Amino acid sequence: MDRFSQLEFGDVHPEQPREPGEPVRDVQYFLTEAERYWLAGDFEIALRNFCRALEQNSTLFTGWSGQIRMLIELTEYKEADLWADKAMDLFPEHPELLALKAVANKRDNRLAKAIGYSDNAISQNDLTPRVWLARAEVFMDRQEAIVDGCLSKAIALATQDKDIIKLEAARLLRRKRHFHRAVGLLNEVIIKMPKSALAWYELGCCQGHLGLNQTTHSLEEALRLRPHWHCADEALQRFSRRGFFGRLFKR
Amino acid sequence: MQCQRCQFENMPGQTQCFKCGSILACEGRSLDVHPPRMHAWKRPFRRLSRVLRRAKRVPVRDKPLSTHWDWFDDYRGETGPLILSIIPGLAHAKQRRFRTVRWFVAVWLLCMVLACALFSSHWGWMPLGLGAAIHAWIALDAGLWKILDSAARRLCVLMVMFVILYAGYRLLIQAILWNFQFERTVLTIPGEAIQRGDILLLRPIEDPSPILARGTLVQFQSRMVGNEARIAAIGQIIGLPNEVVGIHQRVYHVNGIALSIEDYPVPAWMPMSDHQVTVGPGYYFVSTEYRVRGRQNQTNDAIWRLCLVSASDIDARATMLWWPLNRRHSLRPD
Repeated sequence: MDRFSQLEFGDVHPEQPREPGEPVRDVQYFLTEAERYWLAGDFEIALRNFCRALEQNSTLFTGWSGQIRMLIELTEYKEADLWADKAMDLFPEHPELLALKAVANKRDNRLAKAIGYSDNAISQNDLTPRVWLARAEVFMDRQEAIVDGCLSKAIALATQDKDIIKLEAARLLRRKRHFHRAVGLLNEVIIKMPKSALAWYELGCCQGHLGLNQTTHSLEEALRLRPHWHCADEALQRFSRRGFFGRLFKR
Repeated sequence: MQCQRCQFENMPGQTQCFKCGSILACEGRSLDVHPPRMHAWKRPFRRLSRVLRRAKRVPVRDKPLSTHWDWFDDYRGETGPLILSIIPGLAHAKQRRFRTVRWFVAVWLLCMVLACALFSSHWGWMPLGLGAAIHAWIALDAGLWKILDSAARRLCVLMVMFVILYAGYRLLIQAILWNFQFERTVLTIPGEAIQRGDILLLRPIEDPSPILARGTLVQFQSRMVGNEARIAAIGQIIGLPNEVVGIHQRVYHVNGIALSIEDYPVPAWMPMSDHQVTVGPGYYFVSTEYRVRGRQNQTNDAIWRLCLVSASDIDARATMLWWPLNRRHSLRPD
């Protein structure tokens, strides 16, 4: 190794040798990878990819919001709340960050704070679909009409990532145990994104709760797309073990 | 330099948006982009604290409660769950919570079946009370739970509903079973598997003219010796009108034919000596237990006066041995 190779002159960095056909590992690449892993239900790897995207461009809002979303998916709500505070130093009063704080607090069973953040989020300008999704989640246990309205607004507001928003809305409906509506949305999502293991897993779980015969197919498809996924494996075993009364009463 | 968030055109070299404050560039700033992570050992404690926090409910907003009972006025319009809870499962079916519907209906039906099976026994009102409690719980679960924001109010509503529904159930049962009576018997009849303390299901006799069968258990107005007071008692018909009933060696004889002691036992208070009496038209010889005080020879004359019962004094006849459950059967006299 050259003794001056590590000196910084402020000029052009020597490019790493790249294999032919290898993608350029820029911000967009890591964001795409993060979304791909999220759609596969691998939130840990998705979080790492968001971090790598932010390492290249720390002013990227998608990276910060993605990190917070992944922390919420990984049930690290306190950390998500903390990280949203840090992101708000860079993007003050951003409605999506406030909405994500509301979701983190709601899932951490701090409903009063969650309502406060959600109220603050919808009072801002330039609302994003996730603001309405968060609103729906905050009021999920309380008022039916609000939830339905918020979900409709979120889907209507989504433009490019409509299928992602539909998937998130379906996951929310599954948490609310509205399986039949969730199945409707997930079927639409799967037509557009057939390689999403998360969508297949969610569909399989909803079908399992409804006692439908397609449960096994959906969960096997999720396992085919993401082998050895313990959540899908457990769900498959759980639903396939059920007998007649299990299907009848555990809907 | 355009802000990605608000599209505001900032001066070149600005690090933050002049309009919304969002970061535009982080030149010269070192930012840690790796979020803090939770230690694995904290996970169960966090989960526990979440569960504990779930018990704490947040009050409904925009509804200031000034006095102690103002909350009732605020929620007076929310009668939907109360009305829908009358039919188990309807409230949840309306909310498309079909899984819950099945459970509520199954448990309610079980309570009703148990209430029917155990009716009139010591435990009979318990499943009925549980059935009423299920209605109250449905009303809470279907909507009132979200409206009422404190445990005391929920408990208060639950108790009031329970009491109202329980009273409603009792009135309903009385309305349905107005034609039936449940009475404890003082007789022991081995042939019918009836023991003292068993509960009989009785049906009133509308028309006293048809002759009742021998062995029929009836409720009649029993006379007392020494005064004119009458009390309802359960007895067994031994002798029919115009028959001769006798007691010989503590066995009933009708028209000279001995009756089975298993099917027609002689009560303990009857005298040891032999006796015979002719039953008049419109009368029955009804055997039952009496509490006899005084000397035996003084009561002998009263025996026949007590046992000869006018057909018009017979109120009801037993159709079923109702309780205990394991010996429940219909009574079919000869």
